[in-house]
Amino acid sequence: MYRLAQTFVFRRNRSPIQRLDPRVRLLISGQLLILVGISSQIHEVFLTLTGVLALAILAKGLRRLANPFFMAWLIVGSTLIFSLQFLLNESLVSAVILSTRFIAILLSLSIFYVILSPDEVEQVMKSARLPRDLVFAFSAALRFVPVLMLDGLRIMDAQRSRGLELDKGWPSTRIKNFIPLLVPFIVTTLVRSSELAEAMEARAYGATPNRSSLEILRLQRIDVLALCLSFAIFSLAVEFFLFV
Amino acid sequence: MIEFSDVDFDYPQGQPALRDINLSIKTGELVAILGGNGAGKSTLVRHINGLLKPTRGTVTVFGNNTRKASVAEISRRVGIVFQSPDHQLFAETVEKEIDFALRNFGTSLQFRHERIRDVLDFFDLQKYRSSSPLKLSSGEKKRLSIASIMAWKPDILILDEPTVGQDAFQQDKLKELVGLWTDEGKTVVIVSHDLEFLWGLVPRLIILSDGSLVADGKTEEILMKEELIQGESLHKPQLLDLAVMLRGTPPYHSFQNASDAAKWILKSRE
Ligand SMILES: Nc1ncnc2c1ncn2[C@@H]1O[C@H](COP(=O)(O)OP(=O)(O)OP(=O)(O)O)[C@@H](O)[C@H]1O
Ligand SMILES: [Mg+2]
Repeated sequence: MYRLAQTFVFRRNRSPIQRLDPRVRLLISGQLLILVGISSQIHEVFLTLTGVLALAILAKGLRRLANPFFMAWLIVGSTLIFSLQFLLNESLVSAVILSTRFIAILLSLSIFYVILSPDEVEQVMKSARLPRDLVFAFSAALRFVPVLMLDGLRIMDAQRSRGLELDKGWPSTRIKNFIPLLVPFIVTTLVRSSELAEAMEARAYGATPNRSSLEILRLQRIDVLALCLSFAIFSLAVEFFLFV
Repeated sequence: MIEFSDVDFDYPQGQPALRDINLSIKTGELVAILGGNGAGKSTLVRHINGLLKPTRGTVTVFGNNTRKASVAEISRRVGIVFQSPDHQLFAETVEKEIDFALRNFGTSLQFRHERIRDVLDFFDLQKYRSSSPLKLSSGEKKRLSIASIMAWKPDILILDEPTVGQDAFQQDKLKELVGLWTDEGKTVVIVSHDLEFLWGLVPRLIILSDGSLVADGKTEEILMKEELIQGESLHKPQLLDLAVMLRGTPPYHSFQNASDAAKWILKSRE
């Protein structure tokens, strides 16, 4: 669980991708997500998957995506989808497509965590003039993903120390076994968010309509270049996927 | 009997959390583990019931390697009260919260009723029996979490920061509990920063710093080491500070507790 959380913790590095303007990075990962959405043929899915992996390499984040715990989940999920699809449709091709699409979707969602920090997401949303409270809630939620995962780990430790055995018994008892994990998890999450709200208010959140920013985003030449390049690849891919 | 030999532990993709720990705690012993924030105390304690397995070296508890048994099996004899009660409380009522572990360990109905009554009485929680654990104050939650572990009478009791948020009366109660447990020949390990609380209660201190064991010995002897105590950001008991101020360096080794120190201070006035 903790190891899994590591995939979703932003780490700053000096990779070419992370040096770009966060807005450009957001656009690139958005484009990838769209490509995943529209790829329907087997070679298309593999092409987008290659794109995701290339981005991960450029962002020096491949090691984090290749985290064995994250991989385990991916493999379990895609095998499940593969076998379901295969049994229902009896078509090997569609089973392969569906399960690789699943992998591509998850990878392109998690690459979001590799290339953008919660702070940068906040900056980008702010520069798009989205409502302040929405921006704050969104970036706080992103920031709390790893924290909540650690909470989950602590809860599992506490209940296992009281004799809870998660991988034992009939399916019905296994489902019941989740209650001692779920209740503290929801409660600590609620407590955490109300504490966060109080702490923010205690530091004058919302006192002025416009909060000032420490850093102002400006596009550099390299950003424009990257933007053009990614749009070129994106539109080529869209054309290829949809019309060829 | 708890035995750490050459134990290293690294969190995945994190700093090394324990380095070269050699440690042996005998059955019936009462020891405290001290150290600054992030020193690795909670990490060490998680090794005793097998929640964490050493990266290198071995941990044995009652002669069994923790690698070879499930957490549930070891927990039957090793009870850990964790730092934050919020991570464990979940049941509808206080009573059921205590019963949770008793049921998991498959104890008899009679034993369960007996133990629930006993610990509720001991911790002064009888009046909350059928109310929700989530509605208790934070001090009461902490006490409930201790009660829910004590309920199954583990042979080794481990308390992670038990004094946090407890008023003076409850701290005395806690001392009483520790006394009861050791009188029955059980082992108690207390993780704490609170030398004031430990002094006169715990005969042996183990000090961790940055994942390494830097001191292990009799409380009186460790208290004598001014630099060590300060270096690990601990506070000496105030009475000892007073003794130093009044009479210079006192014979710490003859101070078992506060009343010894008081006598020594008074003697100076004769
Ligand atoms: N689940 C975890 N994953 C990665 N690193 C961790 C984890 N838990 C703790 N650590 C790190 O290991 C080190 C030791 O932590 P530990 O919780 O054992 O310290 P502690 O002595 O109990 O501190 P405290 O007095 O604050 O409770 C710290 O640097 C901490 O950041
Ligand atoms: Mg701790």
